Amino acid sequence: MVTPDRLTALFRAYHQPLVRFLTRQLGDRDWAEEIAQETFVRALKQETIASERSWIFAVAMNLIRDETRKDARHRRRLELMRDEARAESVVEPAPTSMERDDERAMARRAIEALAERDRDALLMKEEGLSYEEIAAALELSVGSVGTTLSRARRRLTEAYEMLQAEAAGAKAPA
Amino acid sequence: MMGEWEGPHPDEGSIHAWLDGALDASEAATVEAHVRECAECASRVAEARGLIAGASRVVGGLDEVPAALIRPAMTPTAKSGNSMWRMLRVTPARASIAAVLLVALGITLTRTRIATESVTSATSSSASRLSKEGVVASAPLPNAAPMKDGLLDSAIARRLANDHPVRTLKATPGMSVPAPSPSEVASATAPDASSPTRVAAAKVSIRAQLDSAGPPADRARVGFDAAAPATARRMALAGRAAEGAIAPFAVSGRVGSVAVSQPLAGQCYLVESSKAGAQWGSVTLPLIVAFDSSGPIARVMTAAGGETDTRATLRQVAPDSLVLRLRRIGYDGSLTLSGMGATRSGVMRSSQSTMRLSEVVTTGVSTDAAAATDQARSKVRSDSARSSRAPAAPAAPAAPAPLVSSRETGIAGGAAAALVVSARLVNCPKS
Repeated sequence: MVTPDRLTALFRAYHQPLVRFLTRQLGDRDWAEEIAQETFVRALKQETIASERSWIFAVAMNLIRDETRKDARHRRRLELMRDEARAESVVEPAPTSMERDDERAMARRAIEALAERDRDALLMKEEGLSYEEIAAALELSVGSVGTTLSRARRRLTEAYEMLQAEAAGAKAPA
Repeated sequence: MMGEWEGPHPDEGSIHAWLDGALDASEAATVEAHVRECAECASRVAEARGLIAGASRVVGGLDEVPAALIRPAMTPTAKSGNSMWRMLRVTPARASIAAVLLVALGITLTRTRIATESVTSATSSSASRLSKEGVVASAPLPNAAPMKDGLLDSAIARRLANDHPVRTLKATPGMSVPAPSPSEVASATAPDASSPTRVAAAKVSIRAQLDSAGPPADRARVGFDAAAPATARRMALAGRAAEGAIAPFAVSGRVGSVAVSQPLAGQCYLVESSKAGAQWGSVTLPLIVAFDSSGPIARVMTAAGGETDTRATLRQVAPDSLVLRLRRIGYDGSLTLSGMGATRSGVMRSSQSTMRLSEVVTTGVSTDAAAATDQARSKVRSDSARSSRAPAAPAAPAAPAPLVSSRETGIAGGAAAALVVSARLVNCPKS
């Protein structure tokens, strides 16, 4: 079992990036924090952890995968509530906030357009995981991480640009 | 590491790996030498740099996300009644924001109400004061009949309130205002609602929100949600639960769909840590977590069984663990307990909340004549920091507000401290 001291150190080192990673994955900070916490509880039960960072990210990903794949309701409800919030915010909009909302919504749509593995790899890279760690967490060869990341980055930026162009096109006639 | 690339030029993956610093020294030198000589590859490198930066920017755009957007526990179930709180989608987080707004609203409206009172009582109070002084009032006093025009009424009332500051100050303490029945609360949303009713409604709302720290019956979700698609895990879980393998609690559904089976309800766990003086919220460990029977709310008590005003929300992450969430302005804590049975290990987390209140949307019917005909919506925006020092308290809107929606945004993360704890089943303290 991982000792309490070790766990505290793990928590200190990885909690914040893990929560950010999960929040980016899920679009729900509360959920992200709960998954993160559960991940550390799992760590507590481990005898030893070889590659800590990849282990933690991999376990967290498995936890969300178990849930999200089986339950499409989550996404539907999220979209519904986001639309609701958007509709309510039409009254007296603060332009900067609206723009930020739009950007966030576009970023989320763009990230959701990626293949799961590409998205995982990219978000892990953004949290500072090395190619070796990403390879270990995703069970990829190290040599294919660069290809995975380049594909993810290209698709993400292309999807985002396309959404931006759509949004600009929608606004233009008005 | 990357090996030799196929063809005369490095592939895109190798270029990204090079730019990411993931190539070893000799590979990096090879790519670098080639790029220096090859104009085509130099432009591909430039493009790759752009993609890396662009992707980072898009990913960074994901960070400000609404908290608590998903609350499956708030979805209606057959078990829950037709509660006003459920209809209004009031969560503890929303309730705390509402409380701040309603206090501001209540104070404003109390002034108006008292002023209205002073219209009707001006004659008698002035007369009695004057008669005590042995002087007979000779000047005619304003007509004290109730005004039909709400705007005019409140304008006169405000004027009179200013003229009678002493009375206003005396009457302000809230408890002297009688609490109305729930039907009066409902009537407060009617277009012609009078100021006193609005004051009373605000007070009742505040009280109800304070009470909602306790377990509201409509939040109780017991058993399985029949409408939910049964996942393999859920089925397996149900099977295991049926075999009695899962004790003392069972779950239905995924993250957040809190469904506490009866065995957990009414139980108390003593939560201990080896670290002396550790605190969770404002409660010092060891502490007792008492699961009430009526909903996903757990009371946090001192080890001696003393009541505290701390309440945690029960959520579920995995079948074999549970999460208690403790949230206050400026503080965010959680407690994850794993394992089965009478002794559990867990992690307790405390962090300063980095949330800020970005938006509060209130919906109500305004008494303003222009807006009285429709469901006028008013919105209060504030970017002020959400902290215990400076809770966001924007100017209260004119509309009496059954709270409909509020939203918090926050940057994920923030300084957090973790503590390994153990929890064991104890007899619940007698209250």
